[in-house]
Amino acid sequence: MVEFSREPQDPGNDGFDPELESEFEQELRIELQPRPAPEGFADRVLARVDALPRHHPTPWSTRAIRNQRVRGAIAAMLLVTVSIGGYFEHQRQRQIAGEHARQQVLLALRITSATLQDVRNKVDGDNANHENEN
Amino acid sequence: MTRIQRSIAACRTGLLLAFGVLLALPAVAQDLQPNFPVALDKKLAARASDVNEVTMNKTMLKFASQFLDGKDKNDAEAQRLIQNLNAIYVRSYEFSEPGQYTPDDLKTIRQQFLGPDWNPMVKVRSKKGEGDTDVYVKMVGNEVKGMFVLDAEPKELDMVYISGSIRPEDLKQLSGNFGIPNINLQKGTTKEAK
Repeated sequence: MVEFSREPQDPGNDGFDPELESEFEQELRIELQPRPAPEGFADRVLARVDALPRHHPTPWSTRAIRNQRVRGAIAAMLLVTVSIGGYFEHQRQRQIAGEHARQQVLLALRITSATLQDVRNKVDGDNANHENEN
Repeated sequence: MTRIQRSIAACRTGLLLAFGVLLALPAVAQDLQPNFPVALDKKLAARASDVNEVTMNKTMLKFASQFLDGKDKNDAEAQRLIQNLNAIYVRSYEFSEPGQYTPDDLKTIRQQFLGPDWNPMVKVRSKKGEGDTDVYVKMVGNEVKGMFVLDAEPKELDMVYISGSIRPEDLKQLSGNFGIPNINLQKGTTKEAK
């Protein structure tokens, strides 16, 4: 321990006895002297800290997802959304295919009509030629 | 006749009936969903500069019928025309120059319509090489159950095969009166102008 010497002060100035003060200071110094922690103290403290239950505030969304009913409602909502989307997409695809089929039918009938008209013209021309020959 | 003999006879009759049904099934299916009878179509398409191919079987015709607008004149006529049809096949080939198909090709096509049900209705042969025309009609009983039209010109070959019940008035409706008096198919050519 390091001893500190101190000049005696005038007791009349601050009202303290220098001897008493010196003892007090000595006691204080002894008491405040740094002491090494007992063996394994830090480990024990850390172990206890780890063992303590942790209380983190849970957000409302997490609490809601943990709720069975909310989970069911979310699943149902997703299912309905996907079903409705699928239905409208199917209808759209069907409409496109139907319009294509309609165009194909009209094209087929137009070509058929034109071909038959062509045949009629040829037959009429053939008949006219025969009549002219006669 | 013993009981065993009767059983054997019954089994034999049953087997014969089942065999008959099995033989008839493909014919019925063929009638409902016929295939395009001309096997040359791919070969001709490869030589053509312009190809119009339409293949509509019964299912497709039924489906298309749902999308034909009954208020529109053409659509309404088309709806009425296709309601009794099993299939429509159209093959229209335009060639950049004459000689892309041979008389043998035409012969091969015509040979496919020499069956007992098919009757040649129209046969036009051009002496100047301007083109040949054939119309074959499939008669079952007194009903027209199919029609094949072959219209061959030096630079164009059209084939139309319609399977199903066709009434004479439908044919009249089709032949130029389908609401399209002047049909512009491709490249500004008109059928009537040829």
